[in-house]
Amino acid sequence: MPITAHNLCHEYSPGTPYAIKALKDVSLEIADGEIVGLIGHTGSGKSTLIQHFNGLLKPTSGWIQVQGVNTVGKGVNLRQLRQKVGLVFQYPEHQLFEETVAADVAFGPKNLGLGKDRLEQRVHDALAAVDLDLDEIGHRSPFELSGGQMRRVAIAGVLAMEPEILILDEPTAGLDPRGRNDILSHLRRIHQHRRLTLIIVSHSMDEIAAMVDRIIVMDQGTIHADGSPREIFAQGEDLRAIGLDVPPLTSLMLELQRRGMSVPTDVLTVQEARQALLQSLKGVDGDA
Amino acid sequence: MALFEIKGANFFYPSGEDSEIQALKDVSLTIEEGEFVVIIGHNGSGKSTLAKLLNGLLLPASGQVVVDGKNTADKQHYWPIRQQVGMVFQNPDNQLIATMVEEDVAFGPENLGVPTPDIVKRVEESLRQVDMLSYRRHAPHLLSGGQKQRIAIAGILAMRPRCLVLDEPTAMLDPRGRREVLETVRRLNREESMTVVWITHHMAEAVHADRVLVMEDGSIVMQGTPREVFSKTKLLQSLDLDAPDITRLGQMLAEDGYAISQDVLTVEELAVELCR
Ligand SMILES: Nc1ncnc2c1ncn2[C@@H]1O[C@H](COP(=O)(O)OP(=O)(O)OP(=O)(O)O)[C@@H](O)[C@H]1O
Ligand SMILES: [Mg+2]
Repeated sequence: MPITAHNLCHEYSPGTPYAIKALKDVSLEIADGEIVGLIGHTGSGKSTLIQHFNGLLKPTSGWIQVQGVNTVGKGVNLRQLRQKVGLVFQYPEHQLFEETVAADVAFGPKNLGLGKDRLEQRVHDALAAVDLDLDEIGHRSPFELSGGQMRRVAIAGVLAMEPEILILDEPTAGLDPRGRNDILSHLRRIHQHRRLTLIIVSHSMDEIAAMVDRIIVMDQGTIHADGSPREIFAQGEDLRAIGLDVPPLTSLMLELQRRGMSVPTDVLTVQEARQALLQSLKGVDGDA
Repeated sequence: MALFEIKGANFFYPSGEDSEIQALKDVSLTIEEGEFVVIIGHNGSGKSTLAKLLNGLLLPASGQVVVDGKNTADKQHYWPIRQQVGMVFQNPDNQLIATMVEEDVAFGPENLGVPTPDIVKRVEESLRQVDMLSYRRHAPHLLSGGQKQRIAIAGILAMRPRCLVLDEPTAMLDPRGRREVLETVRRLNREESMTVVWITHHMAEAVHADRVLVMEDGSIVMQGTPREVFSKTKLLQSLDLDAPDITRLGQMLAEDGYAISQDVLTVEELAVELCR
């Protein structure tokens, strides 16, 4: 079942001098099994929007329907919704609370009525997915880990729920380059196996561009652009205008265009940039 | 005299009932006054632990850490070292406590017992240094992440430190915030010779450093200028680290037979080389 939002508005502290309209008339549809990247600078409304996806926040006006549940409806079972919609927060330390890493990761799935063996298997697999070893780290306190290790545990806790919709707010912040690649390729893998819907909130487009089908750009509480990564990247200057940095490779291409070379700006990876430049440089040699 | 002199430092965290984890293994390191040092390395490699050794927040189990001639293990140096070495952390929301920006910045010098008229002067000066003076009466929680980090930095500057240690100060920021914070700190380093130790997972932030240190499993395994470190492609790859995209692209084009240097670091440099 798709996620559908219709004229979704959200205002924080309504009726006070501090009132802030964080979302303004957002309408969108995310189909089952899509991988969507949500980008935008701080305060553009991304985090507010995703908290509507599992009913943590409710619209001030408009409505949203997730997995067939309209979260505004009376008597909605939010607990059930949250078992289907996993959300990894931006600050993982806010999500950790058990005494050991193993207990923390087991916390969510424990409520799903799994047998002991299956529960243990899930905890093991979820930790393995973030490159942590249950035997090595399971007995340690989550608060006595390095920053990046803590984030991995928080992600494992949500993976262990095996949600139908998985939403991650800046999943790679604080991870080393290997950890970033591992997490992203793991997400891609579980997406392929389970066809879950995957929504990744990120500041860095270059990181998610190669794995998402669609990028939604938010600015000032509205949807500023919505399209394939290539379509979005091609609008480099426009992104700069709303305070987003274009990735270094795009920025190189823009600079080369400015210097009169004919190169595309929608390159997503170092390899693609290399191919594009080889083409263009050969062309120049050919003319000479 | 070097500002930091670390000799053979070992550090252990207790883990469970009767075991421990060695987070630093025989680390020796000298940092000169005015240097801009970037530390990179895997999760759990010991970067934050090393950072906490620099201002005596943690003490080595063996070996020593000497800051400006003062051993951090010596109790009488506890406060002077805290004042001289300021720390900025990842999460901007956990570092600001007051309801108004200028109160927050005044917090440090107040604790040091600086007289009130001087505090006012210091607050103004520090906010100007991070280009946030016009926000002095704003509420910190309504600022952007990058602005919050600059306020946290101002709070440290108000204590007149010799060194800033920043542990992933940009990890939670958007690109604009990242740029703001990096530029602010680079300016402090350039114009006021502030010594800077900057921890990051973003290779692009290491490009302007005087020296890059790579940590792995509690030890410093590589160090040199960014050009030196990032041109050692093989060694970096063996550590599962990568040079910045621009450097890698330059290296690939060099392999393809184009005359591009192995150590281009910035978009401008590569654009110039490509258009020659
Ligand atoms: N409070 C603590 N108690 C016990 N062990 C700890 C504690 N903090 C860190 N460690 C362990 O010490 C080692 C070094 O951790 P440290 O935080 O220095 O790494 P780091 O390089 O900063 O990692 P990250 O990139 O994830 O921030 C790791 O094995 C970590 O699990
Ligand atoms: Mg750390």
